Amino acid sequence: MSAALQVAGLGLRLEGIRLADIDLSVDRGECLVILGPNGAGKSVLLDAIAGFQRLSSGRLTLNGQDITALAPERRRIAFMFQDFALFPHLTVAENVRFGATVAGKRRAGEHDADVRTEKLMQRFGIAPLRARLPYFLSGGEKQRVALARAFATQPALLLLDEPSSALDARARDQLHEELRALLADTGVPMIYVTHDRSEALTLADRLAVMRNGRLVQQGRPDEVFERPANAFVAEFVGMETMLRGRARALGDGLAQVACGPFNIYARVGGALPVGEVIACVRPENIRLVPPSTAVADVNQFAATVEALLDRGPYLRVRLGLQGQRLIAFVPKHEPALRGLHAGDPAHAVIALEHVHLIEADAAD
Amino acid sequence: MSKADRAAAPSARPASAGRARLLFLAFWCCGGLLLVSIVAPLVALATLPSPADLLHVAARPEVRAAIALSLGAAGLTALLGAVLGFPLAYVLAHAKFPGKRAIEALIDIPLAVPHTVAGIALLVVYGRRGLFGEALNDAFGLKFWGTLAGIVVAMLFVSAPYAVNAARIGFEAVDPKLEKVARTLGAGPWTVLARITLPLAWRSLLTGATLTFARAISEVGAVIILAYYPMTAPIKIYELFLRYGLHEAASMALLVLIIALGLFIGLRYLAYGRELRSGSVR
Repeated sequence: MSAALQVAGLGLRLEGIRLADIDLSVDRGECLVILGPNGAGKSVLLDAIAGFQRLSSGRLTLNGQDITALAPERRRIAFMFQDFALFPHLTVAENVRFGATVAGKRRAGEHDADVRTEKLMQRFGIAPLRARLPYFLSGGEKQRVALARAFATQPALLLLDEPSSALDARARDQLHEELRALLADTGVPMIYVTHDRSEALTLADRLAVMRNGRLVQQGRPDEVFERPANAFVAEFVGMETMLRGRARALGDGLAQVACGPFNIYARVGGALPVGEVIACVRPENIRLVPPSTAVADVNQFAATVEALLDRGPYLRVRLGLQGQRLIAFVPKHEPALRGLHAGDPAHAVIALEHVHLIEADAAD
Repeated sequence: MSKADRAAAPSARPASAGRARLLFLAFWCCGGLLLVSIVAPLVALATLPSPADLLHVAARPEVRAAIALSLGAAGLTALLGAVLGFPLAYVLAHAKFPGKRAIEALIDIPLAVPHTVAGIALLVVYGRRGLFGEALNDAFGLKFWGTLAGIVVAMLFVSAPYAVNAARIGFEAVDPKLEKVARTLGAGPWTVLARITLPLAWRSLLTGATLTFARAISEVGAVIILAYYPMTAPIKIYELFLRYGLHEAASMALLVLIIALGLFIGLRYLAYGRELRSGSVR
């Protein structure tokens, strides 16, 4: 009885989207991020968990209670939307108190609710805004009001549907900090939906990648990012270098992948995929060294710089290698790379353990 | 921006500004003609009878009775339109079901039918030997021929689309996410309706009821076929015109205009008063 929310075999059909075989669980104090492209069914899944969709199969259990047939208002699952969905005709204080006022007759302790509302408004720093209407709030303020309103109902679970997409970079960082702090303070588990992989890395205790109404991989974020299960996940989590080839075991956990004119070597933890494989390397794991400096016996490739993009703290370098393409992120202050230009030769070095092999025909 | 550009900026207008002005000028001419064609008859009507004429016509009991009947019947129609039409509007705004388009089209049919045609059709159903007419008369003694009930069903037929459409637009304008979020905060469907949907849609509802009322009070064609008697105000005006001529009819017409306009403006103010005062009406 550890998981707070347990979703088992969830399936449903709507026009245009179909969810199937969704199994997931979220523990107390944990944030599960569901990552996927637009149209993957992420929002529909949240809707289903909140109780707005009729399931064609599956069961939802929240803190040991079967909630599959419960109406949304009885689930104790709070929802935070992209645009925060504050009630425009109610002031900040009335928004935060909404849950308490509608529950007033059902649950006792009106006074407790008032105290709780007040505390939450202090906690989120919105007490001075109490008399304002949402129209007059900034994006960051709206987000804090929405959080206070959600927590005022003492939810057992918080669902967040891309809440950062309406925020600027600063407010987004604040939201992320706030959510991590809330997880630590309250233990209320969260499910956070996004299509942004950097956000997923920032927030996720566990990560589920969704595609076409199915969860295609779940795990710790570093696991999913380092060891994607298939080509779709690899691409979506930013494995920018993906080289096709034939794998051959060399013994001692070593594998050789023949990619036409060159070989790339990998250290394989588990079973070696056989036949056609895709060798994936994260861009931050490709190191560039000046040509003619030999630093490694294997996996050093004489490539040509094709394009450079300035990404602020680092450069994104596209390299051509015998018709294949490698992508490397290079810290700007790497001394060996001063004055790198498109057309220059450069050597790419990849550590054995940073090459991840996927079966080329792995179902994705 | 170069120095020369900056110096020129305040005085120089892009050439397109002049052409845009021409467009607006041309459109103002068209629109102005329309405005004149609306305002001129009203002003002419308003200046024809003297205040004494107004008082004189207002003192006549059959004129008062006709105006009271019109107001009462139109008020009843607006109420019925709200009670029966708003729920339908809510369903149309919130639910997806097969045949929804057909129902939406059906609602608009009265707008496209000549109202004498509507009157005849209503007579077939509500007349003495009509489907509803006979049954309701047998069951409750409710007659639609030459009665208030007849006037109201005729008014409702022609004005219900306004109630349903205005309310549907109002309900649709309420962000479904607000209703969802309210549910997750513990509010049941009825509470959400009362606390979120209605407070956000009430202006459209009031507008719908107002338009229904306005359309009902101005109806002649359908009403005259079901109930020439008792006379509503528009029919009474017509009768005065036929019997006593323009002057008599114009006096009562102005009286009705003042009352109807007063009510209409009052209701508009109720709906949009705060914005009107602060000058930010949508």
